[in-house]
This record gives sequence, C-alpha cells and structure tokens, in this order.
Amino acid sequence: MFANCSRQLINPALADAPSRRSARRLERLIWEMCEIDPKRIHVEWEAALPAPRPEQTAPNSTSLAASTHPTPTPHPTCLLPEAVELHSPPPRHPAIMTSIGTGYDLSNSVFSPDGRNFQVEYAVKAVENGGTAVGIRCKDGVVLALEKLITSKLLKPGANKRIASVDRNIGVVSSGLLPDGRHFVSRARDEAANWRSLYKGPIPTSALANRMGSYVQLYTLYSSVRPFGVTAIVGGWDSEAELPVDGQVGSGPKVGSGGKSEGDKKGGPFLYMIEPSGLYWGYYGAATGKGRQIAKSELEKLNLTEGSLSLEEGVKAAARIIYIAHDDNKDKEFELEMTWISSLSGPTKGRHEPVPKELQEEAEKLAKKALEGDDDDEEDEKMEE
Amino acid sequence: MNHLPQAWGRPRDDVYGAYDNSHFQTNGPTTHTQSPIVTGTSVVAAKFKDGVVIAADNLASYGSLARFTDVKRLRKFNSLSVVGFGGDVSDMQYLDRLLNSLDIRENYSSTDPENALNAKNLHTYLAKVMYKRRSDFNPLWNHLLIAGLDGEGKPFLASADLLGTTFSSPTLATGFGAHLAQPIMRRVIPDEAAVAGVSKEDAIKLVKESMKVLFYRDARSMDQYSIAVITKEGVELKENEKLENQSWEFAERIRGYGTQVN
Amino acid sequence: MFRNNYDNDSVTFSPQGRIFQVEYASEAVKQGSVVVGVVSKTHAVLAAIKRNAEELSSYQKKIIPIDSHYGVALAGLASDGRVLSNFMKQQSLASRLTYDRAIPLSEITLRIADRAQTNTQQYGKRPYGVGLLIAGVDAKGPHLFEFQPSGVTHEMIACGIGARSQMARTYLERHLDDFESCGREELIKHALRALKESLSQDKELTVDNTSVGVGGIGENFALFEGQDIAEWLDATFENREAQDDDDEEEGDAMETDS
Repeated sequence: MFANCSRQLINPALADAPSRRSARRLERLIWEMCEIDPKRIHVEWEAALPAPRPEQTAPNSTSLAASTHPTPTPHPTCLLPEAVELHSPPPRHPAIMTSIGTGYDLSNSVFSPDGRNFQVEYAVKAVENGGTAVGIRCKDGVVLALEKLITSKLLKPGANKRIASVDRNIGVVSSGLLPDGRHFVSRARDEAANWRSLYKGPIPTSALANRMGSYVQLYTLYSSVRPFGVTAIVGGWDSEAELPVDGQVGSGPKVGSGGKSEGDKKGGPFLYMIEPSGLYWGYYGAATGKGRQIAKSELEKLNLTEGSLSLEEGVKAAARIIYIAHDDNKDKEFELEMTWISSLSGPTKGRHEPVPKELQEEAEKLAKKALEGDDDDEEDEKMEE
Repeated sequence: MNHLPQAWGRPRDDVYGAYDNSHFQTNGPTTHTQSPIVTGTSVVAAKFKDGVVIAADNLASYGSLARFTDVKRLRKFNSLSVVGFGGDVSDMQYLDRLLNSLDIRENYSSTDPENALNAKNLHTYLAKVMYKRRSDFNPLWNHLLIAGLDGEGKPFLASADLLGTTFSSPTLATGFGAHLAQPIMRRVIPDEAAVAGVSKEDAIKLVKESMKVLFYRDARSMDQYSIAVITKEGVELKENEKLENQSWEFAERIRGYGTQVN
Repeated sequence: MFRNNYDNDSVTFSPQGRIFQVEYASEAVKQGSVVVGVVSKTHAVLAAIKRNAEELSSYQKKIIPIDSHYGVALAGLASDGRVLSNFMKQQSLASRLTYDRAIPLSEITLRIADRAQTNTQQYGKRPYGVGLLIAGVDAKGPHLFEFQPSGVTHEMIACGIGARSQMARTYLERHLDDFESCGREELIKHALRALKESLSQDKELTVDNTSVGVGGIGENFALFEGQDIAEWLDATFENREAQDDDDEEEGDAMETDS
C-alpha cells in the first residue's frame, strides 16, 4: 500500500532556479530569519474531533470503478473553481478502464507496459474540465481569451483576473487547476527575469515556451511530484524594433561590435501551447479546456494560416468562440476575460494588456448576436428537415 | 620548449629563471569598490506647489576626461517618480536594471496607478538597497535624488547616498551642487512652507539657473543636460537640453590662479 | 484503510484528474466553526464563532489582526492558520520595511496561495487544513479574499466558510445587493446575522463566543470581543431571549457537523 515510501524527495522547483534580484532577496531575508522550524508544526484541531469516518477496506481492482468515489459535500469553490462534475461517476473511457487496477497509474514517472505515463494522462483530465481558453495569433498581435465559470454569486464581478503577464510583452492563459496555473506563471516570470539578468533584454516568446516546456516536463520525471494539472497558452509580441539594452544610458556605438544592424526583420506575434507532459507546439490558433473541440473547429474557420486576420478582428473572433464553446446547459453563467498584445505601433505598443472595456463590450455584443443567429439557423435547418 | 599549457605565455625558465609565484599571492583583506570609475556630477532638484523639478547634465567623466557626452542620468521609474543619479555610472546602470525588474514585478500584481509604488516608497526601497550594500562593505557609489509624488499626491523629494544616509528638503543637490546650487535654490525656497508659493515656471527657472552656475564653476560638468518635471499629469522628461544665455563675463574678473599674476 | 488507491498523497491524480488529498483537506475547513466576511464601499468586516474545548478552557482564536490595515479569520486547523498568519505578518512587515507601504491584500493573498500550492504538488508535504478570509483596506479600498487549502483564492463581496456555512452564504447571497452602500454599523449587523444563520437553533451569539473584526478607509483593522461587541449584538438581535446557561453546554456537540 505504501509503495511510495521510498520516493526520493526531488524538487524540480529548485532545479536551476533563476538567481533572484537583490530586491527580492532583501525582502526574503527579512522573513526567512523568522521562518518556523517545520518540525515544530503539529496537527491540532480547533476543537474536539468529530467521530472518525468509518474505515473502508481498500477495494480490489474489480470493484474499484464503482467504489472509489467518495462524495464529499460540494463546496462552490473547491479545487477546481469551475463547476466541474466532481461528484458524478467516472466516465467509462476504455483507455482509462485498462489503467485502473494495474498499478501502473498510481505513481508519476512510471511507464505502463505499453509505454504510457498514466499520471500525465490523468493530469490532462483535470485540464479537460477547466474553462475554455483560446489564443489567436493575428497579423499585428495576439489575443488571449478565457471563459471563467461563475461558481458563486458572492464572487466580486470582474475582480478575479486570471490571464497573467510575463515580463511586459507576454501573456499566459491556462486551463485546469488554478493554483497550478499560478505556479506555472510564477516560474515563467522567474525565467523571464533570469533571461533579463543574463541578456539585458526581454525573453523571446519562443525561448520562454521552450524553457517552460522543459520545466513542465521535469514534473513528469519524478515520483516525488505530480505533473502540472494545466495546459497553458503563451502568447507574446517580440519587439520588431531595436531595443536599448537594459541599463543603457547613452546612444551606444553606432557601428562595429555591439553596433546597430540596419534592415533586419525581427520580432512579431507568437503563440505556443504547453501541455502537462511538457509537450509544446507553436500555433496560429490554440484552444484548451472544456470547450476546446468546438473552439478548435471555430478557429479553423478563421483561416489563420493566411495571416490576414487583424488584431481587432481577432478580439471579436475570440469572444465569439468563447461564447460558442460555452455550454449553456451545464454551466449557467460565465465571465469573459480577454487580453491582447499588439505591435509597437498598435494600441498596446507591444505590451500585454487587458482588452479595453469598450472593445470587449462590443465584441461580446457581437458574440451574443452571432449566437442568436446560429440558433436561428439551427431551427431553420430543423424546419427544412 | 615546454609544451605544458601552464607554461604558455610565460617567460621561459631557462632564459629568465624560475617564475616568482609570490606575485600571485593575495594576502590582503578582501576589498570591493574603493572609488568610482566613470562618474556623473551633480543632480539638482526643487519642489514647487504641484510637483518637483529635477535636472542633471549628460556627461560621464573618466577622471578629468569628459569621456561620454550623451549619458542620461535621470531615469523615469513610473508616472509618479524619477530618480537622478550622481556618482559611478556603472553602479547607476546596475540600479537602473534593478528598478526595471522592480517595475516589471510591480506590474504583475496590478497595473492600477493607485497601487503603484510612489516616490516615497521608491526612496525607502533605494535607501534600503544602498544601506544593505554599504553594510556588506560593497557600496554602490552613487548619490541619488528621488523626485516625484508621495502617497497623498504631494510633491516628494529626498536623497539617499552610498552609505544609506537619507535626507529630505524642499531643494536638494548632490556632489558639487550641494555646495554651489543649494545656496542659490535656498534663497528662493528657504523652507517647506515656501514651496506653496513656487510655480512650476519659477522652479524650472531656478533649476536651470543652478545648472548654469554649476557649468560655470564645475570642471566635470557640461552644457547639455536632462530635466524632468513630475506632477499629477505625469513625468515630462527632456533629455537633450542646452544651457541658454550663458555669460562668461565674470571669468575676466577672476584673479589669483591660472595665467593671471595680479 | 483508504477509500481508494488514489488518495494516499497529494502527488497522485485520480483517473478523473482529481487530487483527493487536497479535497480531503478542504473537508478539514468544514470542521472548523463558521466565519463570515463582508465588504462595503468603505468597510470590511469579519465575524466568527469561537469554540471552547471545555467549559473551563479559553475560546479558540478565530480572527487574527495581521497588520494595521487588515486581518484574517480562519476555519479548520488552527495551527496551520497560525503558520500562515505568521508568514503573512512577516511579509506585511517586510513590505512596510522595504517600501514603507501597506502590502496590497491581493498580493499577500497570492503569496500564501502560492505557498499552499507547493504543498499540493510535492510528496512528503500535506496541504494546509485551513481556510482563511482575508479582509481589510489597501490603497485600492476595502477587500475580502477567500483562501482555500488547495491554493485557490477568490476576491469576494461576501463569504462564509466553516461548519454549516452554507446557511450563512445563503443569507449573504440574499442580501448581496445591500452591502456595497452599507455604513459601518449596518455592515457589522449583516455579518452577525449571517453568522447567526449558521448556528444551530438552540444556540445564540454571545459576547463570549463571538468575534468581530472591522477595517475601513481611514480606520485601522481592529478586533472586537467581549463587552465591546455587546452593543452590536443587542442592536442586531433586539428581541432575543435572555441568555440561558444550559444551552451553551450542549451547544458544542450540536454545532459540529461531519
């Protein structure tokens, strides 16, 4: 039962950790001095313990599928913020069924005889339940959009932002376990800061995607950790202009070593999606989360490979796709969060920012209209049949 | 010939005798920066009723050599604050990168101006950095002026030096300016109470006048300078200003050194 | 011994992508006595039920002032709450020391959330067994945040966690639109009424078992207990019966839910 006891405690978070800036160090120093000895932490309940839960014997492999699912009372804001079907019986997916009870799916970093790492596949399951996230690479920028399901009326509307910035020109949107998404972003920020301290400039989006792919992959290698329960979409605009080196105070050399090179074409919009396995691809349009299938088919209709979609059209398309991918029957309400990154000459001047309120409202209005239109079409088709 | 890599580039033992390795020994204490190398001179600043004016010339000297003539020593941190750097230029560049990374981190938690670090926050932070470094016996060889608005939107001006010493006053100047510009500025703005009666134009004129006097008398200064005005409207930074209406008439009257004898 | 093979530790996903250890930790929050929080445009209020282990023991601390501008209320493992609140105190102090700035509430919430997340992704650690409500005022006005053992945090208008807190939440949802324009006293009343909803029928809010924390614009976060809250209780529950001592003794057993 305690097959895990011999697990080595390996912590990828410490692997090649980027050196901190002394600002952070100073602050950290102050509280580290007061850090509590973990050995002194002992567990004590607030008051007398209630009667212990009736013990259950470990079920054997045959009865597992039916009996493995405890039914804790649902809390509106559980680990999965989105209204996930936490408490329904498991889907009888054939691939999953073969894994249960074999023992190969109980620990991370273990291959099954047919060469699969089940823990990574289960992590993907966590992603598949998250709100839909979409990224579109337009000709003059990138749009990121996210469907945030409203789990409680008590949430402060518009306050819980989830699309995060990395450096100034990159945005990350993720679907799956919220805290894992923040862990991902926090590492991405460390990588960007580390890049800056080495190269005195912003990290290219491709380099960030590469580093994050490696980081996520580390969490599939050890039994002492679990894989990330998120798929993250990373969108960025790499500056098309020659940027001054960080700390540059003069104009720098005009020619020769360290001088300027004229006429190079560089920078532009970039979009990547990183999966729990650490696998990542570059995309014209990316989608993940609950509604990814619908979103993907909608993205394909945009003919993004032509590279003609403008950023503003992209914003409207992203809003529409989130509205279409939203499942009205299962989840009642949602909030749409959208951010964008334009070229230096565009509306955000190469920075990652929230889409302005007016534009987002317009995009949502159009999205709702398109939805109504769709419904009409469907009805028409039925009529024809 | 000795083919060992260790011997490459060394005088041949058979010609010059055995190499004296004692030259490599370091018996002294560990030392860090003992003096600045490439330096910027004075920074001057004055408060007025709605904000602060700050200026510094664009020269970086290497000893007495005017080495770099387009070095911008005023750095905008955000819409609320500007830092002026006197002293070592490479340490200034380090601090600039430090502030850059701080700004990036600040924007992560919120991009609202209400939550942004104001000039007072920035001064506290920089003073801590300077004091930490001097306590490590590895000072950042700078004298900083932090100009901007504080948490209540009132004008803020304070200094921090390489020892971590902090000081605040309605007018401030570093380096040579502390001797030459301060008295001029104090004549106009003697105390905090006087600030309310100073307009933006008055303050700009005063600071420009101080820059001119400094150029007359400070041999490590130059007539190209940067000037910034920080108000509620934001930061207005000009980096290529030239001193106007210079009059070197007074030089004729200087007696006592140089080629003059009487 | 275990319900299934996937709930031994927090580094194992179930086939559905759930992490049972983390979900179980959320259950620990529900063992703690109820706490509620509400915000208006000007104030943030926390209210909590305190328990005592036995008649002669003291009552468990439920609301902890952290810095002069905010405090937390906890439900679940009190010792975990203490670890987190100590951490928050250090972070808040560091912010004051290095920047001379009151730490923004969103920032401090994220810092404990990130700490909690690490405990859910590494073997040999356990998730925190405590839920927190973080309330107070920063440069952007009053805020209320909810923190969960999983590392999930949300900014709320009003919230209740702990035993039978669903009743409090129902009350809060019903009055959701009233809070924003509430004055200080009115907001405190709402918090106390919501708290009362989660109490079993025979229990009353008393000066002994109730804690109130109040923060506001231009007002430091302060904890009120004992006689300091008597007036609020009287004003909120005008026609309640006189305190019956017998009630209290049975009260505890009634209140625990599991």
